[in-house]
Amino acid sequence: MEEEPKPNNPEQEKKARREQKKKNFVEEEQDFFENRKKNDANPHPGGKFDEQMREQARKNKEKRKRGPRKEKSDKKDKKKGDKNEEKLEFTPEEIEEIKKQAYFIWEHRMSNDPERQKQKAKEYGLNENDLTGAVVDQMLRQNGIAPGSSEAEEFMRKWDWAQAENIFRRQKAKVQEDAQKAKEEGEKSQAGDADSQKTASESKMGGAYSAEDAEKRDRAAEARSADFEAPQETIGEKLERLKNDLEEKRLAYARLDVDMSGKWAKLKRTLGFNVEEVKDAGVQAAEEAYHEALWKYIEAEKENMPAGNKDLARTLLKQVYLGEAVTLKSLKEDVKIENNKNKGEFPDKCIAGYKKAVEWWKGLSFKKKLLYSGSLAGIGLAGGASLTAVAAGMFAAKLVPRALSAGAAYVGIKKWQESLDVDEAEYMANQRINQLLEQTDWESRIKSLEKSHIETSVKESKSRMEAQDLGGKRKAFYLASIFPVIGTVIDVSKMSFWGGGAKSSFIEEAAKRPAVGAKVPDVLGEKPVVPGLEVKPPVVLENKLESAQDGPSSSGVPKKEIAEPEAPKVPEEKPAAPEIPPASETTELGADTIKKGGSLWRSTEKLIRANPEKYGLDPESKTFVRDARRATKGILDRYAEKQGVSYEELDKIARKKVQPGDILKLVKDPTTGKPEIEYSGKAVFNPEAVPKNVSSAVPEQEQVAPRGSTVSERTGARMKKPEWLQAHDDNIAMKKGVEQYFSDVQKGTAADLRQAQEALVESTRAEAVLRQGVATRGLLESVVQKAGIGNNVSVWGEPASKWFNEFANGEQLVSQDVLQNDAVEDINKNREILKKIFSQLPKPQPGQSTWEAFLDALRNNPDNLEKINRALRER
Amino acid sequence: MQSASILQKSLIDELGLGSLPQEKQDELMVKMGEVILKRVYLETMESLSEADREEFGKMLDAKAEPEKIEEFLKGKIKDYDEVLKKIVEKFKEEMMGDAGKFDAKYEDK
Repeated sequence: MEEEPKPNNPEQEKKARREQKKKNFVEEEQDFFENRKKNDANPHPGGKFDEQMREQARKNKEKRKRGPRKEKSDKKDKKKGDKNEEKLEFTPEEIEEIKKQAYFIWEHRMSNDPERQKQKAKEYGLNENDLTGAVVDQMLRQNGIAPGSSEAEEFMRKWDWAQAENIFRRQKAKVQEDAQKAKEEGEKSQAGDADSQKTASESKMGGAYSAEDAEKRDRAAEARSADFEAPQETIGEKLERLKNDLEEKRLAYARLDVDMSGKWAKLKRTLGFNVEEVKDAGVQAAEEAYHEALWKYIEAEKENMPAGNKDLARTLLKQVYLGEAVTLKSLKEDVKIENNKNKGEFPDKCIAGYKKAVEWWKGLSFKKKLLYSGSLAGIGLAGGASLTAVAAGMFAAKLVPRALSAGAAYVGIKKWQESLDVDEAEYMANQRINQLLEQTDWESRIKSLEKSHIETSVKESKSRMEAQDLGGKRKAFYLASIFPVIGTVIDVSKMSFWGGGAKSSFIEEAAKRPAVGAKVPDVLGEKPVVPGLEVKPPVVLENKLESAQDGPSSSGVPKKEIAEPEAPKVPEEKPAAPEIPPASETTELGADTIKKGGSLWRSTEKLIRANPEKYGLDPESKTFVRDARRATKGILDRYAEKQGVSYEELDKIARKKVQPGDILKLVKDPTTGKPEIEYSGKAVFNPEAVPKNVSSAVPEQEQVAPRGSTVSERTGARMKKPEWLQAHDDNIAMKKGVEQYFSDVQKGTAADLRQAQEALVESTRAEAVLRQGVATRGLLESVVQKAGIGNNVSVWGEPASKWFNEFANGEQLVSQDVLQNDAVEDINKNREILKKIFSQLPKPQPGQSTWEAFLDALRNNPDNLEKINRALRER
Repeated sequence: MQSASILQKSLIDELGLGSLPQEKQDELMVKMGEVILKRVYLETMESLSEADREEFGKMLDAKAEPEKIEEFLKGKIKDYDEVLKKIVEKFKEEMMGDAGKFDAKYEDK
């Protein structure tokens, strides 16, 4: 539609515009109502809108396909073909653009922000007030449509669309004009490109185009210049463009959603009971537009990622997605406070307080933010008692110890702990332990565990370890089992919760540093309780052991990493190590010291390629490189399996943990004959998460891992339990008991959680039905008014006027326009609908209002809502 | 009972981001913390009466100690601990929902 010359008289101009708008709608009216009939089954207004657009795009596409062929086959149809060209004004891509534009017009129109509406109307070339509620209502009434009615919604949707088309046409004309100018100014190279494109296009289509057709195509090509430019866009530019689009959609959605949510919050307060929001069609459209933009962005990020680990790529994309979700939530909170400020609902001091709190947050160091975030996130499951303190600490913008400790007591995540200062981490750990020890039933719970159960648990544990063929680690594990009971309480927490990382025993530190809140655990006793074992091995911070088969080298552990407990000391007399004869010798195939930037893969492949014959490979083969890599993968797969982890997990850990200077050996396995890895730092792959200080704390006598034992374990032979170990059965059992206790607790919590989730689902369903009932309230009110007032209609044996009064008195949000301008005037028809509705619903209980009974009927049986909707649709 | 589940699970793991590089995990955690902070503040404001908001504003102006703020909020808002707990839980539920949406959409593609 071309712009017409504007009349001088404003009134005439306005009238002319209205006439033009009406004319626009009449042209499309027939198609629209046909579509509406088709979509009647779809109760979702936004969905219907989308469906219409999709249908139109599909039709256009089909017509476009047919057009040229018809012209080619029958020139008599040229005129008809031209008519088709008229209707095919927009490509599907252009329709998408128009759809977005229509959405933005709608969003501005619904914004309740007159300043914004005026500004946008100007930008769109409309009259200043065309997007304001008053003018829209006036326009509707002039067209015989009641504002707020479903007809009004449909009418305005078409109006938005018409405006969007006009805007798009103007933009398109501008592009054409610019292109023409550029052409005239002698950009011959571009013209050459366009010609070649045209020639190619003609060839593809059969070349049966007239000069007129060619001119039309030229115009279309120029109008779509943006499309031609697309392939030249770099991925960085694409990401930037999509990010900008996403930000725009995010803001639009957040504003609209928060605005509607605010209205629903008011409704909740008015009704006095909890109702969940009904998603407004506009909000849904905005949400869909936002999600569409988000996913396009995600796809572009995916495109930008290097090929490789698919799982990692997926996780990274998920992080982008969730990061965006969090950004949206954060923005919504900002919009909320902005709305509250605009409506004057919060005093300025509180608004300023919000800003201060946010500024305070932004000013914190990353570490502190992490600490708070962890505290808050952890508390959600733990109970709110300490959250108050954390929240209060935040309001006061102070990182006070009390708030810190209260929150931190629930953190329990190693990675957070690692990011904290030493004192902070220690304080948190001690708080955690103190709390554990205060659980009075702890000891009794452990003791009450059935003996057989404990034995099974121990056996399972042993089997697991044996299956993993980790002789060195097995001993470390047993020792780790003993540690908790002989006094290193902090190891309990690490074994069970944090998986390692602390420096030394809790008791030692508790004695030295009472200021950090540590106390001696009464429940476990101050002295070691392990009969026969009055020793306590040194606790080492980092596990820098040689491979388990070689045995840990005491000289290899830096002195500073050893925390020597005062007593008991490392025994001078070494308990007898289990003597299991070694199996056949392993043959070393090669060894490589990992260098900076190196990896297990590189070292393995290097060794294979250095001596390919040892691995059955032919260096002259054309596929040698591939074969070497395949062999590398095979060896690493086996190594991962031995560690009890997947290859991907192994790779992940290795990327972080493999250190320059670590030694990787390839040996021939005497049992299988296959090349296997012996890696000096293999303890880092242990899924049992043996604490670093424990795994390397193996007393010297146990450090010599009998090779035979590993072989026998691998082959499944029964291993004789060493005597020294038998003395610690009780302690092992107790450790397993602790594990079992927490396992039971976890299961119980999971069951509780499941139950709560089911209840939540049920209540959400009920509320969803209820809220829809509330949403139909205005309509029902209108029906009751039309059918009942003054017509002696009764509802559940009571006059309809009573219903009407109850509806009207309680309603705050339903537009009065619905009440006053409902186009349905047929009293008899309304009466039938009323009867149909209420004959299906149970009557009110004594003392219950009709409205309450109505809501109850919906709440108790969701099918009732469908019945009502069916009846209402008959209007 | 609740302690164990907290200690054995982290929100990051629950969201299926356990294999994410550490710094990325931390970044997301911090972003989530900010949202929770904002929600706690807004929810608190919405729960207070107009007069109480004024009073609260004055306390913030006077840089009151956290203990006093805590005492004030607990006194003015019924079941304040529960209110806060629900904010965090709701946030977590939302995040889990978002993670589910991603998974479903990713599978579709």
